[in-house]
Amino acid sequence: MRTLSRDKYIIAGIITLGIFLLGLFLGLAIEGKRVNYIESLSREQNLAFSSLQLQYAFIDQLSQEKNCIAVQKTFEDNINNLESTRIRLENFDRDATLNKAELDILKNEYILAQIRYWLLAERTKKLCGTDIVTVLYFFSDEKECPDCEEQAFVLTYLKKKFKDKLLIFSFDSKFEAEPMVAILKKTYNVKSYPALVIEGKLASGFYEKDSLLKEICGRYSEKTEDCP
Amino acid sequence: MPIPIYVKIALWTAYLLSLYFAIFWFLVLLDREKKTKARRLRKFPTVTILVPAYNEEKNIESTLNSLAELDYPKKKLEVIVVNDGSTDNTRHVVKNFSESHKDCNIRLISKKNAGKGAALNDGLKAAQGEYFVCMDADSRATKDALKILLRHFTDEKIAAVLPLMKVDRPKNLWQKMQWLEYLVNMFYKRLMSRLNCVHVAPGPFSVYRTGILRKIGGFDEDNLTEDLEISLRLQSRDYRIVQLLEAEVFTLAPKTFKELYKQRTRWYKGSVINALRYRHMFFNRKYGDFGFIQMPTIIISGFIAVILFSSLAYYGLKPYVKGIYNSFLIDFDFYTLIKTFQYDFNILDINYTTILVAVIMLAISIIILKKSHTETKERLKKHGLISLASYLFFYFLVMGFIWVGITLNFLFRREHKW
Repeated sequence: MRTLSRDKYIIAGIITLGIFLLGLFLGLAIEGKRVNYIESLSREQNLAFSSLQLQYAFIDQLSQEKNCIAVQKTFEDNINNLESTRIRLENFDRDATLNKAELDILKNEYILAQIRYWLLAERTKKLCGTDIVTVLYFFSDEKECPDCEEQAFVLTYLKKKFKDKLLIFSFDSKFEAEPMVAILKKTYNVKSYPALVIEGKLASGFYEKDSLLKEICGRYSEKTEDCP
Repeated sequence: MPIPIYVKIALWTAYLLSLYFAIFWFLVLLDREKKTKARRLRKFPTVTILVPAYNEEKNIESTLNSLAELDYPKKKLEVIVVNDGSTDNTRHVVKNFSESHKDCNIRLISKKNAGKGAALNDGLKAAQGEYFVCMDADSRATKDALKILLRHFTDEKIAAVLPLMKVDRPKNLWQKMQWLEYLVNMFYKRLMSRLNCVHVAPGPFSVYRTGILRKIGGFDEDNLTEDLEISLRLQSRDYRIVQLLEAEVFTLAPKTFKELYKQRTRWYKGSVINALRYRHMFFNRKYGDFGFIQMPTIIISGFIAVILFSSLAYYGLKPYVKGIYNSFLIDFDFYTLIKTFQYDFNILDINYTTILVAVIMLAISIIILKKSHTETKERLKKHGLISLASYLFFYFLVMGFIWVGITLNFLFRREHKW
């Protein structure tokens, strides 16, 4: 019988396991921090939203349209903050292992925030006569929607081009925990992906840059320099 | 882009297995070695050195020269060159050399080309020495190598003693990276030797007991890597193979990626095929550490290489491929993207767990690299920092690429020719 270094196999196993657990705990600790961080972001954003809502209510109630420009600025800042949350969530979604439940709650909050801002944007248009176009973007997973990644890229590009004059709200159609997603889908008759709702009108299937540009440009009441 | 769960599991398995192996050998390293004292050669035993040669007119002279200069009594030494149906001038080069070195006792056997295994067996049949040395025609041994190696046959069970093999005068980056690789591998094999786990006796200057070689039936003639097969066979019969770092031999390494790819495909493919042939040794208590750590390593290292390389290539390159494709979607209007670029980075976005594993692996690699140099009495920066960095961060990708090639080859079942 040849020798077998039993001790070494066991010790090596214990050390490997130790390092693995250390990594796992480190990962979990970081994930916990992430959850807290996004939660605090979301709380701040909720507060900012309440304030913004009040500002519009104030304009509405006392017919203070002259304040529209100042409030408009706050609106844009808030939308930008929301974008930062989206990036955090996306990165978290990539790495998350065990905190899926928390992640879903955060995602849900994000979706609600988007719907609130969309409704507020519609109200602003009426109240202050702001010349903006809103787009609801419904996406799905790679299997159901192989073109979604490209569509998202084109939308991001257009957002960068039009900046505050274009508001895009994106919704994960697979996120069924939030009934509002289903309600929106039903309202606009969304059945296939990618699906865009431009100013309340459904546009299904992948839209290239130029055709999308045309769709969006047709919706502005004033001519902008970004439109051909 | 989220990574699918099965990819994550495969990646983590690969990480943990490599970590486990690294830690295991690290523990072996920490153990104090029970050194068996080398015996003194009271009487010089007879030795046959066999040089199988196929189209080696360029290299064989320096090989024969190094044999002629060996510090060993000429009367006890016999050199056999088996010309394996060379189509070049090998025969004449050998003839001329043996005529000008009459004292060297060089015999030339010419035969039809039948591969290295057959050439070795022909030599084994003709050999008169008590010890049998394989010597590839692209290698050189140092003067004292034979004496040192023979001193370590301290036990009847020791079937082979192997020298420290170094890359001969590396010139370009490919050879310099291999120079480092050989050094690390030799250091590892020395560790393996402590647990009697050596699984390959390479072509250049491995010394065998002739009697044992004959008893187990000589070399396999139809094998991609007959040097690995003979070692597995010796291990399966409970013989011992000892790796030394004191005796040195220099061998030529492939100069280009293409040559390297060809060589490694043969080596790794041969190792997998032979390991499967001796699969009864896997985790077999009878074979001790050899069955528990060495046999699995042969297979698992390929598995690790394939997983790490393919996922790194896929997830590392995909964003760039996507990026190029996406550029078409926006008619290359980068101006808009750059103009509005916002640096949005958060310290929490970093994946610390992967970084932890990477740091530990890198630390172990550096320690092993350093240790390999001190044990073989080499300077760490002998071939420059560029080759060191390339070896640490790039070479494993090359090996991964080769392993992926082999896997695809296996899947599509193509026959391998030498």
